[in-house]
Amino acid sequence: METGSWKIRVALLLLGANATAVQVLFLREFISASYGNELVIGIVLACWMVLTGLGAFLGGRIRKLSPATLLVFLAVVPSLLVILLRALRNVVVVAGSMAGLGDVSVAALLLLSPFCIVSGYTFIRCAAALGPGQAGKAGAFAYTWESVGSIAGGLVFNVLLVRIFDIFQILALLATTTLLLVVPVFREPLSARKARTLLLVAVIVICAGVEFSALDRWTTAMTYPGQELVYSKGTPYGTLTVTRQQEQLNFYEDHALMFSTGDVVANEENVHYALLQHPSPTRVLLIGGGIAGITREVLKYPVEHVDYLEQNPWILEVGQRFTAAFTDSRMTPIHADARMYLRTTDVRYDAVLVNLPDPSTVQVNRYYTLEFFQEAKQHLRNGGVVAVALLPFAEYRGDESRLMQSTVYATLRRVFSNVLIVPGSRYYFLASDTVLDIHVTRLVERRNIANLYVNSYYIDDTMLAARSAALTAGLPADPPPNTDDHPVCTALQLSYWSRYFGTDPIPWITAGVILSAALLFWQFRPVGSAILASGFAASSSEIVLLTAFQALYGSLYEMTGMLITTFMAGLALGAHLSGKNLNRASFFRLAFLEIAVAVICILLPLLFTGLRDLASTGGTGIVLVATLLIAALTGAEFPLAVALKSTTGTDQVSSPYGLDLLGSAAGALLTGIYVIPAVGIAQASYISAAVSAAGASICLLGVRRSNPTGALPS
Amino acid sequence: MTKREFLKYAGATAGCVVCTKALEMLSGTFMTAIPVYAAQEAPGKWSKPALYCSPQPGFVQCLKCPHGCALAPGDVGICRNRVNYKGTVYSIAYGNPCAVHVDPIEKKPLFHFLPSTRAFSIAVAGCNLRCLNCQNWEISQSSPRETQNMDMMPQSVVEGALQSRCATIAYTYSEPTTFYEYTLDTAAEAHKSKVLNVLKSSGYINEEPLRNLCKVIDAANIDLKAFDDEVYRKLNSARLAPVLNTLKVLKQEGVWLEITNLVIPTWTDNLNTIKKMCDWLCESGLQECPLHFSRFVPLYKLTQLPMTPVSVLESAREIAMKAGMRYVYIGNVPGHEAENTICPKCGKTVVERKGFTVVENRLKEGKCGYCGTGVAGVW
Repeated sequence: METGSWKIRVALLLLGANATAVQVLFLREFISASYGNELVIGIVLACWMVLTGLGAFLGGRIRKLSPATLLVFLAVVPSLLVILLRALRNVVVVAGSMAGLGDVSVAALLLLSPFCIVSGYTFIRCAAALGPGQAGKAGAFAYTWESVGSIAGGLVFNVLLVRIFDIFQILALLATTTLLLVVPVFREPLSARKARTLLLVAVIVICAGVEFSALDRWTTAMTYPGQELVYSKGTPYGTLTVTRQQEQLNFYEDHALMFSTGDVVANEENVHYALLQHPSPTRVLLIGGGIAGITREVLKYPVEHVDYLEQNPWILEVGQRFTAAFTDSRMTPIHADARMYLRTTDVRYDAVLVNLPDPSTVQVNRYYTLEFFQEAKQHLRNGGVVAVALLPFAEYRGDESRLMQSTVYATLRRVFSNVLIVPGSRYYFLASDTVLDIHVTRLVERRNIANLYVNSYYIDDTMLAARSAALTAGLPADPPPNTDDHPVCTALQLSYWSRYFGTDPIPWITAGVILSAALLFWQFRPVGSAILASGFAASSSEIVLLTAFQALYGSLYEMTGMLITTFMAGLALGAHLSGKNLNRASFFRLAFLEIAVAVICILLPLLFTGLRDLASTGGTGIVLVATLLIAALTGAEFPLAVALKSTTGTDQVSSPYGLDLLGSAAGALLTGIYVIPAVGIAQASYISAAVSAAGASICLLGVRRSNPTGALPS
Repeated sequence: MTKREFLKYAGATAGCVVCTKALEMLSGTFMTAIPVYAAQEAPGKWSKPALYCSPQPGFVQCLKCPHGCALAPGDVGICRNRVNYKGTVYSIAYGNPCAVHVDPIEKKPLFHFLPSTRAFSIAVAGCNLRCLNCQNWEISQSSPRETQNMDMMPQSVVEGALQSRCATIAYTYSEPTTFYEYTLDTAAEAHKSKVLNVLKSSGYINEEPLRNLCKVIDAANIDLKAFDDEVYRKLNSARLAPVLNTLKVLKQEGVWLEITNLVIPTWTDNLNTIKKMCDWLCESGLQECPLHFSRFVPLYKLTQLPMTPVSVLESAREIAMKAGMRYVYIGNVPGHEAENTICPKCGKTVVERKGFTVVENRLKEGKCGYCGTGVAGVW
């Protein structure tokens, strides 16, 4: 294995780095193209892993292609796929409309295939190149170095590349790095002369980075027909874009429309319904939406200070550059996660206005939960008011809409004495411990505030009061509260969104995944079952940890990246340590690792409860340790599984690798889009534990039949 | 099953999915799948035999709208509220409104019809269009079986209107021509109590049922969603020609008509097309019909298009007025002066509006208070 292993090490590093960076970029592109949510993320991730798994299966059978050729392919193809995705977006789906889950699934399967299948295939060919003698060690080696590559790729990408370059520049950089390393290392598939030419081309490509920038602008502009592209910048939080149509500016994040200038109705409604409830608001907290034009409305009141929180600092930069939001000295823009901010500040406010999209992600849902409302209340002065808005107003509310409103209403009622629903262009929920008044236009006139929309010409107080009362009376009674641990609203919002496309796909996805898992358990026992369960438990516990971490400490981008990096590091560490001790490999050991993962998953909810009162630094450390532990245990299973696999040749690696990815796909998809929103974080941990324990049980039962000692066959 | 077989089956399944989707894409966006109920499911309470149905061997042809659904027993029409039960087509919309509200008549919008009065507004689930920007998609894209409905037979609706001191009953929010029988009977009942009837509709209906409906309808606001058949097909899953015919028929039948044109960026904001539309309206003798250019706001599936810039609406209004349209308004832009009615002769403001409120009405018996020119409408 030593001969030539350094070449393979380079190949694996490149593979890991490339795959990680391309995965993040593609995920963003798909979210942008489909204006998607967590369902889309789950589907794209699942497609990614399934296709990579397919590539791994193929890698065990087709042995013609060398790693060098494959790496060159992997370096070149992503740019073409991104161009294809952007160019076809408005051809396949009506311009400006959301893509359905069917469209996203087909697009993901078709467009990700070239990269993912080849990527999975390359991994197996690299492992095979290490020699067939000690498959377990080869597997551990390959797994470790690919993970190290992923960590490096993830870190460089997140910390550096995405802040400086656009997508095509990043892809060009990745391609050039690959070419520069592959050609001299492998001295194939090109002759020395061709290699020199290629190197020259690579240097030119790097120098011509500006041209790639133009390519990004050109392909981005294609996705905004009829609009002039005036600003586009990749940020760690997503791509920010500003377009112009005549006098109007439109602001997008990851191609999802945030707001347009001149939206009088939204600007006035977002402010006045809430601030009218306070006799004299002097200090106001805005969470999101501050550059949309609502600050002008806030300043119609005798406010002395407005703190405007935005998690993405580039939005503040865009606001500074393109709007007049910060011209008044009373405005203070703050770059912070609002939940974290509220935990660290002592400032008290007369009003907290939340201007965020509907809670279709667990991250946004954090501003509609019991915990957030409690934190907000602690920062309210006497007579203070909190306002959140939900869903576009319609003359009729379907079941999902009513349930979601009922959940937010009931959650607010647990914290505040009075909650009022104001039906505007969205459903506005006002909450306070003082009396709230639905007669908004009377209040406007009493204050002598000059509004274009929130006034008696547009709004009839009597009709508004009647509708508000009817809406409240029509809410289902006593729904469970929406909490950080159990994001009910996200589940309801995803169901609501799914109804746009006719049917709710989640039960079908769940049934499909469970059926497939059962089939695979039956087919690949006992080692296959163990590795499948391990993949599931690993990815689902990763999602559980990420969600819990966000709920506990906010969704700081760097910390989320660190959590993912720690997870990858844990996988690499586990695989490396396990690969060193393969002569003691046994089925019992594999089952033991599974049980250890299950035990940790069972303990996770207790850990999260304990961390609630802990300072963020200590808590972060503990979460990172838990992440490392789960990942290391999971990583350790892979070489064991490879060593224990009864077949010979490269299938020893390809089959466990593919199953690991399939399990991961199922875990990521189900836990993110269904399990956590439907039953909560704690139950999601228990399900991960159950799956892991099931894997261990099948592993033990299976081995008892064939080999009572559970020892590695000689 | 070997792994090779597993791969084969997995590949075959993926292939099937891809092919199905590709076929769906190739067949265009014309019509999405319609839920089909169990063949022998009874139509439900208040259901009434549907009008304009022609029995054919093995199915019944619905002749109410241009889709012309062929309904075999158990089938449901594109509108989701016409059901073939054992060979007879029933309207399951009858007496089952899911939304009942009181609105200012200006909200429809109807600016030249009984201004400052209130409309008792009702809707039943279902629609024969599939507009990607539908505000009320939760009812329009549902069947009455899926919504929470009230029990309101025509007499109850009229009583509700009288109790709410509404001058009119508005059939609105979803698509009233799909709850045709209910609209027809309620409107006839309303006339007995001197309550008038207004229709807010896409106008996607065949001529014969429309002429029949016109006997009891006093005013209508028709959405002329585009002046391009391809746009109609892609955005609304409908065709342009039947809507244009509806406009002509309403005029011929003496129904007070106002027209709304939603200006959607990249789809219906082409000023040349808007000019063609206005020319056609004038050529068809509809220049006296108020035309409302409405500002698009991102809704339903069309949430990624920005709002219409106000200047585009202003340009559209200018084009329409140059083409000869006499009363052109801009909607959904609070505080815009194009909410007012201008006398086509002296150019003075005769009805001053702010939002849904008439601030000042300077008309005298339907004539300009300044120059005495008649201003079309039902005042």
